[in-house]
Amino acid sequence: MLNFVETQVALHYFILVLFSFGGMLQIIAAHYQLKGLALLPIRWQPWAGTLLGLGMISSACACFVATTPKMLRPGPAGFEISLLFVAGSLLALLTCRLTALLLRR
Amino acid sequence: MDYYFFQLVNRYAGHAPALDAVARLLVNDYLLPTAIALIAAGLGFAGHTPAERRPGQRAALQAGVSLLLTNVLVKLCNLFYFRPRPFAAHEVNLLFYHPSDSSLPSNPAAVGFALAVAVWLNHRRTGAAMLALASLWSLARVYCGVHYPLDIVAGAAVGALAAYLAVRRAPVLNPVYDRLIDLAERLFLT
Repeated sequence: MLNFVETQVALHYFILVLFSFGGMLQIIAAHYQLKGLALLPIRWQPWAGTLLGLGMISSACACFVATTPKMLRPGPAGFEISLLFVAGSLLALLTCRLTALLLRR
Repeated sequence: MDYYFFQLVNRYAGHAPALDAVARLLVNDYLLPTAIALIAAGLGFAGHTPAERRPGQRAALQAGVSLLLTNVLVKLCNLFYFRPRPFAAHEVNLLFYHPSDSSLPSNPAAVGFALAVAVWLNHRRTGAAMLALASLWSLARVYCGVHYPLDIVAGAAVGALAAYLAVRRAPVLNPVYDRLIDLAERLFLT
């Protein structure tokens, strides 16, 4: 049975993974010119995608630290954290794929 | 001896607010492990073509398997041996909550090093960056008073062993990795 202990911390962590994974995808898409993942036009790459990715990751971390004072208290255990990581990263990947597809139509 | 090295690191905790703030950012269960996992997962997307991406995708899956294996190994260790945390046996400068599980082997060190070594065995530079992050995470645990240095060494050894087994000693899993990558390609996830 899943026990997230602190639902708010779990939700904040999910958002952290969603945006940081999305940012990581943007950096990689910019570096390798991956049209299927890039949220910005390929002609602006690699700088625009790298900046967008770094911005997403740093703002996700800053928001998480600022809004999660219970970060140093008991929270979701390892299995729950792994589950949130997989869910957040899958959602980020699907969002980037779909958005990139729609933008290129 | 172990307590001596623990004191060498932990005695500064609580005395330098800036250092404590950095340690609090590094020690928690969220930021550094997520960074390590992000790098491992990111390998799966690095490459211009599907053929270029495949070795990275396999490395990311091997890192996932080594993570599962290291959790099993840590649980097995905990079944046979329990070491109280430093704060339970000594006067320490504690900057973290009171975990109740065994101090040895360190679970965070095992997790961090399992992911980092699994990647290092495939991609030296990326793996080295991950090893640096795993070491920082582990050092922060000692600084904040929740692990002895020996717990970290044992955790790193367990993680490295799990990674070695998953990457070098499990060729039987290679067809499974390939099938998973093929499936992900069909679902447009790579």
